[in-house]
Formats: sequence, structure tokens, C-alpha cells
Amino acid sequence: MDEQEYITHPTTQLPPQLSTFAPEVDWVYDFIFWISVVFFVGIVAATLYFMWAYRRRPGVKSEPTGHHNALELFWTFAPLILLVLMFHWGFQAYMVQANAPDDAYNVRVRARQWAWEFEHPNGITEDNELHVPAGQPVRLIMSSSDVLHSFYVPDYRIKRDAVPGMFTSLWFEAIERTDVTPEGDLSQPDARRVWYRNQVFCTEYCGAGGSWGDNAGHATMYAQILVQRPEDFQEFITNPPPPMCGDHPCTPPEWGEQLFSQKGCTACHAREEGAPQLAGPNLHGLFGRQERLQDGTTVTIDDAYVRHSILEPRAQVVEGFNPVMPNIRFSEQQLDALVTYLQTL
Amino acid sequence: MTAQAGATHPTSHDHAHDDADYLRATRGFRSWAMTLDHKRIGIMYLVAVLTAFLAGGIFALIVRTELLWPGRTIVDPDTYNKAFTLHGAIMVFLFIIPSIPAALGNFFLPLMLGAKDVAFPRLNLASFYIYVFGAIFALFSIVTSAVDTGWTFYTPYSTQTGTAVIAMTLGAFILGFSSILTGVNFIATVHKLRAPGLHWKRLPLFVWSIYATSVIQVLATPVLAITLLLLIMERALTLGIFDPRLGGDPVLFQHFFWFYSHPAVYIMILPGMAVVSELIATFSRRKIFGYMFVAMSSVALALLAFLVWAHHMFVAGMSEYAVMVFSGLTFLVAIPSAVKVFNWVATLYKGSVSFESPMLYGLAFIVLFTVGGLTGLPLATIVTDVHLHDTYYVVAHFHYVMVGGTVFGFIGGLHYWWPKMTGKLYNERLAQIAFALVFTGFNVTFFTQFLLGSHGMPRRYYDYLDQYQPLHGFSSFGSYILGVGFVIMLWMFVQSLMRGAKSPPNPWGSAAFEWQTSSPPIAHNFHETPIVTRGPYDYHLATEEELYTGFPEDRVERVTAKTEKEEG
Ligand code: HEM
Ligand SMILES: [Cu+2]
Repeated sequence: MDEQEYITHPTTQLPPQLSTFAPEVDWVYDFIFWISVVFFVGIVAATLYFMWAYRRRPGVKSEPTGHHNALELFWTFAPLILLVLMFHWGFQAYMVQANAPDDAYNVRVRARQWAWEFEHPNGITEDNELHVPAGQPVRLIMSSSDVLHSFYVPDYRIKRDAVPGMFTSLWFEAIERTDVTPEGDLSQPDARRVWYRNQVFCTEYCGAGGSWGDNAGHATMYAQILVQRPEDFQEFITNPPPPMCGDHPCTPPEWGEQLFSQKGCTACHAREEGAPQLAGPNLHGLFGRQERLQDGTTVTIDDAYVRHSILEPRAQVVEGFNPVMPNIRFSEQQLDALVTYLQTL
Repeated sequence: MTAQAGATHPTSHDHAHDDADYLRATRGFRSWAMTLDHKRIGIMYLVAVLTAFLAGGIFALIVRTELLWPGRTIVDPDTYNKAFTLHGAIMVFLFIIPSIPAALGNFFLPLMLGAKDVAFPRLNLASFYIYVFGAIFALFSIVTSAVDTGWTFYTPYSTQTGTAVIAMTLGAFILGFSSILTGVNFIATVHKLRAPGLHWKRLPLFVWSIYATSVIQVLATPVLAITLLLLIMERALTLGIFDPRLGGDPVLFQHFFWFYSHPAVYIMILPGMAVVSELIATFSRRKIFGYMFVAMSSVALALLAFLVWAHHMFVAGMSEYAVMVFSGLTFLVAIPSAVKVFNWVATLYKGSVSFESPMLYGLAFIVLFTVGGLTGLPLATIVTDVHLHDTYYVVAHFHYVMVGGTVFGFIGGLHYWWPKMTGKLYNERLAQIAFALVFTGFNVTFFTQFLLGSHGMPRRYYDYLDQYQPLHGFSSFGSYILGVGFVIMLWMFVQSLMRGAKSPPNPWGSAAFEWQTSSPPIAHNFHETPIVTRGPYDYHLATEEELYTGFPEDRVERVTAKTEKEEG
């Protein structure tokens, strides 16, 4: 497979081949497809011909059916050979997908309703975005913090469920695309430069929240894989660029607002006055508000209460709500930015 | 009426008109509600499953209309999730599983066996009421808060969602009993009540297939019952069987669930094959080629059905070796399925083929089931399944099998046996128009979904990326054509009931046994126990006048003319 040909544009049937697996999967698919076409055309042609040739005519009786054991045995066992080939090639290609190379770059993936969180070996985390180097194997070690999800990248032909209570894993190698050139000054590594992007879907049904915003249900549990040149990726991972809001680096409240939707808080918390009730309390005018808790005590909402509620969401639940808020991981800086933002509501 | 093909009665027909037919034998609501007549029970099931089909169809149109455009079109995401769950659950548990066996099977199995009734008529009535009771539970779940888990009820989502999962699963649990009881009843009937001379090699293929279906129903349904019971207990008592937060295993649920639901796929398709064998034989006036191979392939499918459940779980985190074994076993299922298709096609060869509406559905079944079967191959192959699993490709595949296969079989059977069941003819021209719309609409709707899926569009999505819009729009457009086809068909049947011409006993000139009694049959089916002297498809042994000798064109005109005369 040294001289691998990639089809980088979508065909009528399949998306572009952007991982090293894709050509092999597509080859098996095409094999099955053409065999199927041959059988389908044969069956339909025979049916149409017999329909025409033996249509009912006056005075012509049907002939009694004989039997033909040789013919029966032939069409029972001949297709078996083709089936064995499909099985064999399908399994062989799968074994490649099942065993990641030892030198793969490991990323932890945590799925939750309704967002993907990625953690690099050096502790950098990303939400709904994953930077990876082109031309190097990447292994994903996946878990889920609530229900079943499934990590699917059509362009890579990979898919695997994220199952709560267990780890599953998956690997891929994004190709170096000759048909697109990364923009900018290629002699300088640039942490922000993305070569190309791949869409990640969730394909195991995981429900929907009451509202419909960014990342508020199975159907928008999207993420993107941002493929970089290896040197750009190296730069990204050692020197991650500050978060950007539009064309300038974010101010803390702006970053907080970005995190609020990236981390999926919008699914359960409204922020406008008088907005319809979702699964969690409305956060409008949060700070300084008096709230009755489930244990009957009353608190005045302050910095400490907010931080505690984010870090340990099920400890102090407001009366009238179920303890359903997930544990969402934040770095210190992220938490600061988020709290600054919440103060502005 | 001299047609005696296949069955001879020991005495002559002097008293052929002594008994009233089963529709008029007794009157009043009680005489139906308390009936033990398998034919009336069959008709009650028919009404029930058609109602379910209508409800499931309405939910399908809600789903398709929402998907016309990205973003919100007509309903909110929660309602959408409930709509596709109810569509799937109603179609599977309330419509397709009982459709052919319980409605057509109940009516025709005893007739085909030359029996007066099924082996346990009271049990038969009980299973109908159990069905109704289960349906009421499912309806109750709709009016309370519906269910948004998908018809598969996968844990742990199903143990956490706030919707009426318990009511719906209890409904499915109860429906399972109805299914088991019907199966037991049919098995006993086939073993014990065959007419003298009707040995196993003379059984109509319909009977062989329904028999195989019954075996699966009896063996597999209890597993579903236990699974659903465990799920209910898990929700009500938080036991920790499936919920990982309590130490349970969510994948275990999938094994349990598919151990039933994969065989259930054969509970759905074998009856469709049963009907099609009858249609092909009757309308090509020829015994099904390779009769014994076709019969045995039903039995083979019934057995293999139990060995392949985990092909629904290739990406669920099973070991590579489990994946390998289940992929290999899955391919074996292709063999008996292909054998059937080859034999049906070969039956046309040297036949005398006519193209009345039931046959159109029979021929369409062959084509659509072939597409459904062949598109199953990339799903059985591990590495291509990884790409296609849980995308619209799968939605297209199972609709080709379940709608293109079973529903087309069911509707073909309904057209075929309608004159026998009601004693009325229907307007053949309208039937053919409805067929053309249904066939076109179906293909536009679902062929498109193969392309959507292979391009990566996941299923159960309320919203989607703009790139998928053209194909989604096309598919929804097809579903409206399909809907119009069904409405015309409904109208045609209603018209037939109200003013259809009276049907002769054997309008198609069939040599099969059930046509040897009057249309509609008398309450006890036959005046005397028939003695069977040959197989159901031995057209070469029937004399010319024993068979209906018309031609499709002139038949279309005669039927239409009669209907119009009645109207005018
Ligand atoms: C008659 C026209 C029909 C249309 C237009 C239609 C359309 C659809 C659509 C759009 C979905 C949603 C797929 C998804 O969300 O992934 C679906 C799901 C489904 N349909 Fe149909 N369908 C039809 C008939 C049937 C019939 C007759 C059956 C059963 C025999 C059936 C069984 C199912 C099942 C089991 C599902 C899966 C539900 C789920 O994802 O939970 N459908 N159908
Ligand atoms: Cu998900």
C-alpha cells in the first residue's frame, strides 16, 4: 500500500477518503456493490423476460414444474464462494482498524449529552474540536459520562460507541492531502493553521434537551477534527494559541460566554429573563439571588456557590430541579472566565 | 361450481347453499366480540392492524415533513424524537409482527388445511384481546408523555429519560403474549388438523412459512418479555442490571434485545415470503419451482435467525472475535433467502403468467426484497458495516425488507384474498393505479436514503447539515406519493365493501385449497371434511374448466364494468 491512491472528492456513493483506511473499505464496498449489481440485473432481467415470454395466452397451459436438484444445489452453493470472499476481506480490513500501532498519539475522548470533550496527553483539553497531525496514527480512548454515544467520522470510515462504564478505543491516520494547500507561510509553524476539517457525528441516539440551541441534542452533537501539518500540530500542542473571539483574543467574559455554549450549558440553562423553563434554573440575574435548596436551606448565590455548583453539580441542588447536571471539566482559567461571564448575566 | 382442484368432497354438492356464510351466520355485536370463528377473529385482527398502520403512517409523515428542511420545520426536537419512536414501535409491535400471521394467517391457515377452525379457538380469541389490551397500554403511553427512546429502548437512555417508557414496554410485553399464543395455536393446528391426505409434502408454502414463523414466535418472544421486564424493574426499582452508575452493563441489554429482535425480523419477513409463494403460484399457474427447497429454506431461516443477533452490535464494543463469528454466521442467512428468490423467478418460466393487482405486488416483492437482501451484504461485512451502521443506509435497507418485502406481501395478499374474505370484487383499475403510486413513492423515498446513508447521514436526527438537504427533500417528496397511493387503495377497498360486485368462489382460477369453498366461506369452512388427493399447486392435474379461464385485459374490463354497473 505504498502507492496509495486517495479519492479526495466525494463519489456518488461514498464521501472522500481522508484516512488511510478509507481506500480499503471502499474497495470492499465496491466489490460487494458490483456483485450485487450483477445479481440484481440478472434477477430482474430474468423476471421481466419470463413475464413477457410466458404471459397468459388463450389455450396455452402452464407446463408442470419438474425438479432440478443439480440446479438447486448449484445456486445454493455457488453464491457461497462470493460470500466467503466478502466475509474474508471485510474481516481482514477490520483487523487493521482494531489494532492501533504502538506509536499512536493517544487522545482521551469523553462523550456526554451533548458534547465531545478531548484531552491530549499533555493535559490540554478541547471541546467539540480535535487538532490532530496529518500522516500520524491517532488513538482515541473513549468513555461516556451518561448514555451511549457513537463517534463517527464518515470521511475516515470509522465508528465506535462510547459506552458509560467502560473504555472503547479507535484509531485513524488522517492523510496528507495533495489536493489542498494549507494557507499562510509554510516555512513557519503556525498553531492556528488548519489543513482541512472533518465532521464528527454522534450516531448512537442519545436524546434531546428541552430547547434547541448549539449542542442541545443527538442531532447536533457535532465535533470537528482539525487536521494540521505535523509541524503546525507540534506548535499547537506546545504553545496553544489563546482562545479567539472573532478576530481578537477573547476577553474573560467573552471566553466565558464561548465556553458556556461549547461545554453544552445552553442545553439546560436559559439566560434571558422570562425564557421558558429548561432542565436547569434560568441564570438571568444569578448573582445575589436567594435560592431554596432541596435540603430546605436557603443560600444567597455568590462566587463560592457558583464554583461549587459547577465542580460538584449534584451537591447543592435548587429546589424543584432534578440532580441531572453533569460533571464538566474546566481548567482554573476557564472556570475564572466562566464565573466572570455569569456575573454579567 | 365445479372447481374441485386439489380437494374432493366425499359427497356431492346438493346442500351447497344450506349454510349462511361466516359474515351472516350470526348477527350483532356480541356475535363478533365473542366469536370463536377463526375467520372473524382474522377480520378483527385485520381491522386492528390496519388502524395501527394508519397511525404509524401518520407519524412517518410527521418525521418526513420535519426533515424537508434543516432546522425546525414543523415540530420541536422532543416531539420529533417521540414521533420516530412511536412510528417505529407501532409499525413493529402493532402492525408488522401481527399483520400477516394474525390477520391473514388466522383466516386462511385452517382453510388451507381443510380444517374447521384452529386447534384452540378460545385461545385464539384470547390472544386477540391480549393484543388489544397491549395496544391500549401503548396508546396510554402516547397520551401521557409518549416515549423518546427509539423502538429499541436502549439502556441507559431508556432508564433515564422522563418519558413513559414503562407504559410502552409493558404494552410490548403484553403484545408478546399475544404473539406467543398465536404461534402455539398455529403449531398445534398444523400438526393436528390437516385434512386426510394432506401430508407435509402437500402443504401450501404459506403454511410452511407461517409454521416456521410460529416456531420463532414461541421460542424468541419470551426473551423479549424477560428483557422488557428487566428494563421495567430497572426503572422502577433501580436494580443496577443495565445502568453503569449502579454497576450494570448497558451492552447486556443490547444482547438481550437483539436475541429477540433479530429473530423478530424473520417473524416479519417469513410471512411476507409465505404470501408471495402463493401469489406467484396462482398467477403463473404453476407449482413453485423447487417446492421442497423453498419450504426447507423457511425452516433454515427460522433456525439461523437465532445465531446472528450481534450483527447489530459490531461497533458497540464487542471483542474482535465475537464480531468475526457473528459476521460469518450472518452471511449464512443470505443463502436460504437467495434460494427463495431464484425459485420464485424460476417458477415464472414456462408458466401462464397474468398481471392482476395481487401479482403486481408479488413481482414487486421479488424486486424490492432482492434490493433489501443485497444491501444487507455490506452490513454483514464488518468493515463496511462500521461505516454504514446507524446511518440512513440502514433505514433504507430495513424499509426495503420490511415495507418492500413484508408490507408489499401483506397488501398483495390482501388484494388476492379480499374476494374470499368479503365476497366482493374491487375495482382493478384503481388497484393498479394505487400500486403504481405505492411502488414509485416507495422507491423514491427509500432508495434516496441509501445515498444519504453512504454519504454519512446518521439516523434519528432532527436536524442535519445543509449538504444533505436535496436528498432529504427528495425522500420526503416520495413519502407523499406513497401516502397518496395508500389513500387511494383505502378508498378502493371501502368502495368495494359498499358497492363491489359479488365475487365468484374462485375469481383467479387458483388451484389452491382455500378457493375450494364458497366466497365468503360458510361458518364451518367446508360442508364435509375434504379429502386431499394432490398438492395445492398441481395445475397440470386440474382440468381446464376447473380453473378460471380469463385474460388479464378482459378481466380488468369485466371487473370494472361490474363495479360501475353497481355504482350507476
Ligand atoms: C410507509 C411509509 C414509511 C415512511 C415514509 C417511513 C419513514 C421512516 C423514517 C423517516 C424513519 C426515521 C429514521 C430515523 O430516524 O433514523 C423511520 C424509522 C423506522 N421505520 Fe419507517 N417509514 C414508513 C413505513 C414503515 C413501515 C411499514 C415499517 C414497519 C414495517 C417501518 C418501520 C420503521 C422502523 C422500525 C423505524 C426505526 C425507528 C427508530 O429509528 O426508532 N416504517 N421510518
Ligand atoms: Cu450522542
